[in-house]
Amino acid sequence: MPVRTASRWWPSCTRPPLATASHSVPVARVGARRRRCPPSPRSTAGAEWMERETYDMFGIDFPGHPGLEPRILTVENFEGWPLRKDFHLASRAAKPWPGVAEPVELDEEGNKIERERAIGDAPGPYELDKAMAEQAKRVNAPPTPAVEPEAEPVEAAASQPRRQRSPPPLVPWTPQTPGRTRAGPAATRQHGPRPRPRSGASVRPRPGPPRLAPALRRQQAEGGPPPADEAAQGDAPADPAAEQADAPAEAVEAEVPPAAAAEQPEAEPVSAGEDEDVDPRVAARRKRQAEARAARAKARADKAGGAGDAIGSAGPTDAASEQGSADAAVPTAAAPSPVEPRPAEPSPVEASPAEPTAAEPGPAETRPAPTAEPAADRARRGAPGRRRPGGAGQGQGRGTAQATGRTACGQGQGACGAVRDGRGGGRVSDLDVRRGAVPRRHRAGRGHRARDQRRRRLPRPRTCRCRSVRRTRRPTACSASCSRWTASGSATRVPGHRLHAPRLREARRAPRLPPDHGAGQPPRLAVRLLQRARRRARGRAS
Amino acid sequence: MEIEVPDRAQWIRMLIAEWNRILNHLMFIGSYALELGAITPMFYAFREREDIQHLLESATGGRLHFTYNQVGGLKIDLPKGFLRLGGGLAGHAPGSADYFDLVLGNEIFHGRTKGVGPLPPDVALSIGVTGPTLQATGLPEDSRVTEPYLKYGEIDVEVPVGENGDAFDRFYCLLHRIRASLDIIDQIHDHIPAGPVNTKLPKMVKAPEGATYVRTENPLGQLGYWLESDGGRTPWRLKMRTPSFSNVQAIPYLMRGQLLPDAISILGSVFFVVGDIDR
Repeated sequence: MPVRTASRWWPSCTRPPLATASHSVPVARVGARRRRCPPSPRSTAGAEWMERETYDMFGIDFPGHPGLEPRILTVENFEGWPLRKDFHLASRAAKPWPGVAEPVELDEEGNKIERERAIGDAPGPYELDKAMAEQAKRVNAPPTPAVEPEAEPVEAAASQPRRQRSPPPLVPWTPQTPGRTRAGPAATRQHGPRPRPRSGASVRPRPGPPRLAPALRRQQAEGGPPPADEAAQGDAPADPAAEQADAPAEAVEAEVPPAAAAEQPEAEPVSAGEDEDVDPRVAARRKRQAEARAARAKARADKAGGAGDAIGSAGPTDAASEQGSADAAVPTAAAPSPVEPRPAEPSPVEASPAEPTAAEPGPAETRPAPTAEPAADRARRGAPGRRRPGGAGQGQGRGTAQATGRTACGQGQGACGAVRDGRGGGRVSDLDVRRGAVPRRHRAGRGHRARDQRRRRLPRPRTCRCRSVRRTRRPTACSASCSRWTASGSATRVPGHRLHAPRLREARRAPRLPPDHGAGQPPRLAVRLLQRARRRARGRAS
Repeated sequence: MEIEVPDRAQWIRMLIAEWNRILNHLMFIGSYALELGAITPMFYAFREREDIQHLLESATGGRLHFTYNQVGGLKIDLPKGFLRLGGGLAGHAPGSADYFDLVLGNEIFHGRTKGVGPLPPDVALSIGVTGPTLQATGLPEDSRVTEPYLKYGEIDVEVPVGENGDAFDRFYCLLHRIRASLDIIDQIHDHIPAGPVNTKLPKMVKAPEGATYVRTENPLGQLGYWLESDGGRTPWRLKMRTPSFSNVQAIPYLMRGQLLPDAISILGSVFFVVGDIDR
């Protein structure tokens, strides 16, 4: 066995010249304008990864480096430089720093330096982070720091020339295959913030259907005339429905100045949020409840009166009638929010002038189709009709009741209706749209919304969430287990336990057993005791 | 910072660090042999590890992450009987001839590691390799002796070195570092003084303005902390130089021109922890 003896370290050994990044490179100040280091001698091969790490975290360029891209410590398409002081974590924006004190930066006089932080700068691993950040920004908007640029030129230089981002061109969703399709790699992968237009002049009003919902809604809020100038359109879409949808878009686009039209939808809820103090989700739930009530009352009245013509025109599976309804709905913009004419297409803002060809497809092949597609698709899926007979496919006469305050959700990118009008907060469904699990155009419609709700596992108001109950409406006895799973909001169904909504409410109101009652009994008996107690309470109440 | 760690705390820090080093080396010895097809050393290694983990758990309360060090001292003093138990353990278990016979006496092991992935010392230095991977090239660089911290200057630290810098030498250094650590533990047992293990801290610990770099010899190499402070309550910048991050850089060099079956023995012989690479 060849055992070598361990040689003892001899004390005369001086410290060997270790390669601990010993090349004396003047350190580049990250905050300064210069973001490259002078070329470092390549004598130390070990500096390579160190420099890559520095590049990943700070964005400092090292000329002569064999290759800084792709990044090694972050995901490859990560945007931003995480260790810079102006990098803001999205989770910090949503929730303040849990520690004792937020680390602050002081200038020479000891004053706190407020860095201008871009919240959108923080591409979290998922869009959920971003949605949270936006929600937080909406709820508690921080006061804008008043920092003179002369006071700290370094700071100004740091904040002004943000890195020239070239976002992946957003591929508009082309509806070749309806249903579950991925929205394209570029669209799903875009983590970073959407590029803002440099100025109003750079935004070209395009002939196609722009992102019109904010402008349209604004106009409706002002009580302006319905934008029904159909003769003003320039191009000739292939589909009549798309033609109808395009017309108001153009009219609005012509009226609104480009700067206002370029306003980002993220900024919209701040100004247009209905009730700032209420949690937007709560508000949305209340509103949905009211709508459902109204719709149910209307359905009941219709059934009683036998309004044949309205029902006849509301065949939810008929694309032609859907199209006709779109015809009817669009010119009457007095109806608060037409559901149809939001095409699934990137706004002109997104098409940065850097990549004109990739981002803008020709108007003829893609633009008209998405406009017509949501209508047909929604009709095919029967989403409105599932829960409310003759729902969104109705004409304007019946549509007004449930369309009150309901806006079409848009094409992902945080522009879904709920986010825009402050009714949904950070919706997880945005994530689904980004990932491509849900085609973008499926944002509108109640069926989709219901699915979102199920996904978020919010307890649906007033009814238990077992759909069979909703269909059958069979009044069955409540049981302890039913009330338990409904209250806990778990998505598992308890077989055999059907619960009617009024009964559930009663059960919730009924007093619980005293704590010693039934303790230690087998569960059946406990349930029986509970039921007896409830019955007694009901008798007392009546 | 005017915080002086008591002597006893420094000695105990060394003691725990050396035990921890043995834990690490046992782990890698077991896993490296396993990667080369020998299962038994893994069991032996884990048998010893279990004993040591029991010992350290009695002092620190943890089995893997001890979090025993605190600013200004230790979390708690050693329990009664720790030194006796540790002395007994150091006397017989981990340094036993099991591994030496089992692994170093194995012809297959020799065949698979000797001359595989040699790393010349100059290349190792330029890449920034430290720890047993560097010592295997013949350089006795070890910050416990070249830049002693804690009380390493007061004791005799043995640094085993290799000759060729190949996979066998790396493993060999690792194995002998266990013996060196046990030797250190013996010396610590002789030196450890009585006294407090904690110092009274100010209400708020602030790092003074400026920057400092501290390096220690971790089981896999040199671990450095660059701490920059602006005098505030939180540090301004903290940069870790972790050994695995630098050591792994040597792998492309080692792999070049080697046979594909040797990839396993090369990869395993550059001992690294992935969590140490990406932090």
